[in-house]
Amino acid sequence: MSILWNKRIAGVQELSVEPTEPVSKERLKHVWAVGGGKGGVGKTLIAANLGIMLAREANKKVVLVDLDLGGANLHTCIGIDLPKFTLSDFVQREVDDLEKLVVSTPIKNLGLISGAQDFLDIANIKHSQKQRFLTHLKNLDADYIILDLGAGTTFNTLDFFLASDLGIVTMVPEPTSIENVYRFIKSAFYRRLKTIESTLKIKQVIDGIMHKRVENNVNTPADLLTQIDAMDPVIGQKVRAEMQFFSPKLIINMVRSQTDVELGHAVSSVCKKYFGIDVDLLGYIEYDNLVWQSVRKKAPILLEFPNSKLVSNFNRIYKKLLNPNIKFVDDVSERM
Amino acid sequence: MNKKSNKLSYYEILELTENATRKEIVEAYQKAKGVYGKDSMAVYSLYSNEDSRDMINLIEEAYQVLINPQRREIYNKEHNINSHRSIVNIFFDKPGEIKRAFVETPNFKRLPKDDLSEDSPEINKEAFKAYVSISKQEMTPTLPDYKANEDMENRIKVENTFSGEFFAEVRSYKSMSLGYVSNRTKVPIYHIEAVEREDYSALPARVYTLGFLKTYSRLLGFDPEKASKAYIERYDKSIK
Repeated sequence: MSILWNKRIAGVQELSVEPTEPVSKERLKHVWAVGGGKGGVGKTLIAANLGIMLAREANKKVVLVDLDLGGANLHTCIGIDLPKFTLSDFVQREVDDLEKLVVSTPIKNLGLISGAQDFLDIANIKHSQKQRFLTHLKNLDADYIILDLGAGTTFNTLDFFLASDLGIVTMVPEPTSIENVYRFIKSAFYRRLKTIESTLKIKQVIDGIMHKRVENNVNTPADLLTQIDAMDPVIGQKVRAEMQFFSPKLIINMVRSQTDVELGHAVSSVCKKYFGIDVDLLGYIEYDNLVWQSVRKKAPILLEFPNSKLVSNFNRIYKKLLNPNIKFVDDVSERM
Repeated sequence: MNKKSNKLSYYEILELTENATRKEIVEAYQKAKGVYGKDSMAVYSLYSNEDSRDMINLIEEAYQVLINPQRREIYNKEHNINSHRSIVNIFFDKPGEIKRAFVETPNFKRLPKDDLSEDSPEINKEAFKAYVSISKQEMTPTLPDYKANEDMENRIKVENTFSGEFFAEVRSYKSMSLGYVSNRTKVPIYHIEAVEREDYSALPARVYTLGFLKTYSRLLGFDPEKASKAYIERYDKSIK
C-alpha cells in the first residue's frame, strides 16, 4: 500500500467518528479512480480498458471495482455475466470479506467486484459502511485497484475519488460535460479541504471566510486560498501543501477533431487559472463506432477490435500513467 | 474577474516558463486567446462576458510585454525574475538558423545599452551577434535577394485565388522571413501566419485584415486590389 494512498484513506476516514484500523503496509498497491460527474462520458470504458492493459501488458494483478451502484455494468464491458455476489451483499454484511466478491474474468490477472444490482445507492452508504469497505479494499490481493465511479458529486463518490492515489476525470467535448467536470473538480476540492480541516485545525478560519463568502468575494478554491493566506499565512501555507496532493488527471473522450483535443488543454488551463488546481491532461480517446459495437457484443473493445484506433489511444494514456514524464502528444489531425 | 488571475505573473497568464522563446510566447498567446475567447466552450460556464474580456485584456498585456525584449527585461527585473536564457534565445529557438537567414551587420540601436553589451558576462557572444544581425535585418528596408524563376513569376501574374498557401509559397520564393514581412508591414507575425493558414478566426477585424492584405500583397509583388479582394471574399464567407 503506497504511503500516499494511506494518507488519503486516512483523510477520508477522519470523516468517521469511529476509530480507524491501522493501514496495511504489506504490499505496494495503486488505487486509481475514474470519475467525471456526468453519465455517458466513458468512465466505465476507461476503467475497464486501463484494467485490461495493466493486466495484459504489465502483467499486474488488477481488480476492477464497480462503484456506479445505481447503474453497475462494468461486468458487461468486461464480458462476464452478473456475478452472484455484489457490493450490495458486502454492504448488507451478507458477505464478510470483500475479497470473496472478486470474480475472475476472461483476462488473466484481471478480477472484478461488481456494483449493486438492487436498490442500494452510493448516496445511501453510511460512514461506517464506507470505512469498512475502504479497509477491506486496501487488503485486496492486487497490484492495482481501479474504481469505476458513478455520475454525480455525492459525498461518497467524492470520497472514493479522493481516497485514490490517482484520480482520473473524464469528459466529452460538450458544454454539459465540461460544466460537470468543473463542478466535480470543485466539489472534490472542497471535500478534500473538509477532510483536512480537523487535522490542521483550520475549521474556524475556513468557516469564518465561508460565512462571509459574498462579502469576501470567494467564488472559487483559488479565492478561498487567497483569503486563508490573508487571514493566516502559516495556515495558508499548510493548506496549499496539503492541496498539492489534489491534482486530478483529465481524459477527453469521443474526440472527433484537433479542436476537441485543444478543448482538453483549455479545460486544464482554466482549472489552473480559475480554480488554482493543476489538472494534467492525460490524453484523448477518439470517437469510434466500434465502441458501441463492442458493448453490444458484451466484449472489451481492446480484445474484440484489436486494430481499433482506440487501442493506440489507450496505449498512450496507459504509458503516460505509468511514466508521467512522457510528453503529451496531441496531434490527432494526421490520424483522423 | 477572479482575484487569482490578477495575481498571476505574465508568464503564468500565458502558461510559459521564464525562459520561454519568442516562438513559444506567440504560440501560448494564440492558444490563450482561443481558450478565453467569447465563443470558448471551456469558459462560458465560469466566466461572464466581462470576465472573459478582462482575461483577454490581461493576456494582451502579458503578450505585449513578454514579446518585447526590452519591456520583458524590465518586467523581469521589477519582479526579480532571473531568466537564464541569453537575449537571443529569448527571441529565437535556433539562432544559428536565423543568423544564416539574415544579412549580418552589427547594429546596437535596439538594445538597452546600459543592460546589455557584447561584453556582458551573461551574454553568449555568438548568440548576441546573431541577435544583432537580426536586429539589423529587421530594420533593413531593401528587399532580400532571391533567384528569379520564370514559372513562378508567370504564376504570380495569372493567379486569381490568392490562397494563404500561395502567399506563403511566394514569400518563401522571395526569401522573405516572417520577421521581415512583419517588420515591413508592421503586422504581428501571428497575423501573417493566420493569413497563410487561412485561419480567419485568428485575424483581426475586416478593415484591418483588408488593409494588411493589400500591404502584404504589394510586398510580394501581387496586384494589391486583386489579391486582397480574392482573399477577403473567403474571409467574408467565413464570417457569415
